Amino acid sequence: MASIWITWSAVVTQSIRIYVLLALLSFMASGIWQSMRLPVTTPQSLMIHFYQHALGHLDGRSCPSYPVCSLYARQALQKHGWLLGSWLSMDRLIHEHDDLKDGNKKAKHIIVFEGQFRLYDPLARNDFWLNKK
Amino acid sequence: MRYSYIVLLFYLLLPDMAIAGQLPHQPTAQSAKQVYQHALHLAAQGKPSQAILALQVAHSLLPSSNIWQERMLAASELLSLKEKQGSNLPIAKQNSYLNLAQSYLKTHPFTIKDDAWVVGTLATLCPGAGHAWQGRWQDAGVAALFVFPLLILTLWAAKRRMGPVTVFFAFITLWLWSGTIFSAISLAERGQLESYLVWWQQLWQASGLPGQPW
Repeated sequence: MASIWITWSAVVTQSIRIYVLLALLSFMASGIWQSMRLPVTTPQSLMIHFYQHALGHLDGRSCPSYPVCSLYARQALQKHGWLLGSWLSMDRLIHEHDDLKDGNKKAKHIIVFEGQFRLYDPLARNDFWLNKK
Repeated sequence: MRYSYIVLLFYLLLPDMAIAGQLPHQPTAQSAKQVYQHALHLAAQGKPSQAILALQVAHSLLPSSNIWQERMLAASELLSLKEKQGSNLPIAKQNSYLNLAQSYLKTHPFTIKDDAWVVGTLATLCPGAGHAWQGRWQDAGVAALFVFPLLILTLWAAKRRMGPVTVFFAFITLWLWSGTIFSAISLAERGQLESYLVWWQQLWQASGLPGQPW
């Protein structure tokens, strides 16, 4: 009888420990969640968030466009969903090179942001034709 | 919103028109100029339909002897043309500004730069070809780099009968390839609009109308 009671109390103690640990981890997770600028609710948002907060800082070269590609991708995904959004993001990565070349010739697309010359290429410049009648 | 512009126009034009008998030219011309400038400012702000309405109402209120009436008609016609992205103006014999624009149109017609269908077809046949057709050679290289490695992997997996791996690679290839086709079409559409806007601005300047609605 006594051994059963000891076993039972050990199980309860262990359960309480796990419960407290989970509660603390949940509290920490909610704190991190709140500090995030984008609620990570979809896989594509999670990937962009991971790039912006984990990988982006490791990459020395900053994006030559404004808004930067990751922000552009986030806007595209939020506005057009994962398929069109991913295509628009891909399009941005593809057309950046020749746009920069053209942009140097036509100064109207070049702006100065944080002391650096950037190619002004907002989402509206590339997705306007999707709503064309 | 539309009525507020009509009320504004009446407010600006009617007092001058009432005293037009005593002061026939200067005050009416001054008010009409203000309305014209306000309309151009609206168009520059991205509100072309409000600008066109303001110009049309002011045009109907002004006497035909007023030079601004002619300008307002020409400006509203040119702004309407831009709204429709058209390339033909109506013939107006009495309007010198529209006549100038017409003569510019005869020598400088708007031509479609790159047809989106041609570009899309080329990009479908060979990844990067749609970009190359538009003279975007670096972009063509990037587009080809997006697709060909995965395409080779898919063919390799299919040859080795790798089943689910082949399907996985095939889906990724499909996604990337369709993305490059989309990019080529998007660039053709964007290039079309940007070249149209440049052409339209030149048409406006050729018409001799004062101000710039951009």
